[in-house]
Amino acid sequence: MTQDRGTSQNGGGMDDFVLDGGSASAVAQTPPPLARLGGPIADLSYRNYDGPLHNRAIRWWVIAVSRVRYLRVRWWFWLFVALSLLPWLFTTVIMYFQSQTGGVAANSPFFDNTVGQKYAVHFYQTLGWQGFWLFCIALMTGAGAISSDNRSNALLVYLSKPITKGDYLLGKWMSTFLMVFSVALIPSLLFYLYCLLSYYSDGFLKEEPWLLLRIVGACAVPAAIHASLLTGTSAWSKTPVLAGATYAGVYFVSGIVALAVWGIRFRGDFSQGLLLRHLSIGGIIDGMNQNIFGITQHITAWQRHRGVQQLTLAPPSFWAMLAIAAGLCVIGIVAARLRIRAVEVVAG
Amino acid sequence: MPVASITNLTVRYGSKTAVNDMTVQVPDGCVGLLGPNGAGKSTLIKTLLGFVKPAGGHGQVLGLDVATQGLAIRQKIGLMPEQDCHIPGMNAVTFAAYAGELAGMPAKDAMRRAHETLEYCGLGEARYRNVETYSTGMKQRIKLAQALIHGPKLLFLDEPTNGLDPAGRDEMLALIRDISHGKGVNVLVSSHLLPDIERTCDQVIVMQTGRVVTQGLVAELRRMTTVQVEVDLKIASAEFVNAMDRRGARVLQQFGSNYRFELPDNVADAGRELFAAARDSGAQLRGFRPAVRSLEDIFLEAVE
Repeated sequence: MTQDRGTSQNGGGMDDFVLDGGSASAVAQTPPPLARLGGPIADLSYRNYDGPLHNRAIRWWVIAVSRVRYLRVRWWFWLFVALSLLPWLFTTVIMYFQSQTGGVAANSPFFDNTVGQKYAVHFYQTLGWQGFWLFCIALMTGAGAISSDNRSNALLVYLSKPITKGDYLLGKWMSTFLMVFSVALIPSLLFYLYCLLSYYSDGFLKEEPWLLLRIVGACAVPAAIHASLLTGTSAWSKTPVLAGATYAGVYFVSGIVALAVWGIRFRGDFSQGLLLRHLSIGGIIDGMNQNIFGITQHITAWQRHRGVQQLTLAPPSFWAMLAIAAGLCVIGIVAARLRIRAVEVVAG
Repeated sequence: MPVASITNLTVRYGSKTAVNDMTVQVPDGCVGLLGPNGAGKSTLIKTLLGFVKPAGGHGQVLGLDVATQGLAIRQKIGLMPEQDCHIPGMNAVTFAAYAGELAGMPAKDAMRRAHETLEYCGLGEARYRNVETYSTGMKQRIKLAQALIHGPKLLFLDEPTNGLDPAGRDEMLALIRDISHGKGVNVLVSSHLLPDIERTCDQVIVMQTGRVVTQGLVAELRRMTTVQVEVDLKIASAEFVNAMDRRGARVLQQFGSNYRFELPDNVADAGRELFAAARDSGAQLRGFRPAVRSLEDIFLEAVE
């Protein structure tokens, strides 16, 4: 009996082996170079791939998911995720005790009983407290997104495959966006569920019917701004640490400078220079979210010349905030796009 | 049938012209792209991949236009770059599977194929090690594996034996030879190492200063246009040279007691003539063989 085991596809490797008369005499006419050395029974010869191929439209997703796969096995990433959940836990505990004590704490600074923002203010405040941790998670995800590829020439691997620079950039941007967005959105939704179950009878849905959409929008703001700026910063660096340090520097320095200029210009008067006070990365995120949740802040402020004041602060101009936020996103993405090249072309 | 055809291609980096009005047909099979450093070999590959925009001319790879069908071309080709390149934080099997997914393979197929390809490239035992910990030879292999993962029809190998020790180089050349012969994969090997090309390729294209200076089958190019023999004497002998001269032969090269003679076209039996000359001159003939041109000779003739 002669049995030709044949090739599984169109490679031509397995047809080198012929079983004759029941005795396994393997005749290797052109044995694969490495199969010769060890002599495993398995066919190690080269075979072509003729299987299915996905449409290019979702290839950015592969890139986005790869960063998530990288981070999900890092303990420090989960530590920061856990820390970012603490503000939500704190707010939930406060809400729980408030409900248990029959509204005793309702006049504390944590609560605002203004109709239309009674619940939204909790989401706005807690997202604000979570902001620093979201920034840290964005740094972990985005700082190395392109810079580590630059260091290891990985762009040659990416761009020699059937993907465009746009696919690559979208994948990298999405990896940071989705990570920050998820870390902000998931606890927000859980808290929303808690509020829904606890305050449904108090008119939770009736008073603030659009809250769910506002939450989704508010979670997307820090995710989009961090993702865009970090992608841009990362593309211009070859070391994740340098990219992260640069972005962190811009983040903190812009906040300090905006506050200092506002303090000098308006002598610390909270009712003035609202836009100037928000001219930083953190300030823009805060201003956008205040607009999205439609929050008018009622704060108690003390100033040397004016004493204690009860202030009502409307959100900064939505269109100005939106324009600046969109501008930052565009700057980050354009900066990254300019830098993404498969080969370094030096004009002579 | 050519796997790539290029017509009047010009590529400039600023004022420097890297590829100068080049017209060439790259045949199927295993083709060597030879040339000194700066000849434009890598630029040609980068242009065919769409990484570099040509200043003029046009080209086709596997029947697809370089200028407008870059993605379709990259779907069908694999690139093993010259530089060390990997995706940080990944082990070999994840890296290879990821490369497959980037090429559009479903995740399951990509993972199965990654194992196969890594086994084929000799990284079976090290597939779960982080690529960053690999030696130079292993990094060359993983670059080959990621290029092969999606079953390309054409493989660009840019200096595939860079940094390899002799054993690693032998294995890499054996792999290239194996892929390019009878497996349905066309291979374009760019190298300035002539022995590598000689061992793997059936055809060569020699480039210099951005132009093709010669092209053809290695066997054809090595063929002599005249009858030449290499002769090994015990000691160098002027009398032997004179005796050969009387028979119409002339000396082309001499290294010590080794000679290369060009014989007249009408010589029927070179051996008989050599023995006769040795007898007449009293020289001791140790051996002789028909002379062949090495790839180095072809290359030097072409670039000079």
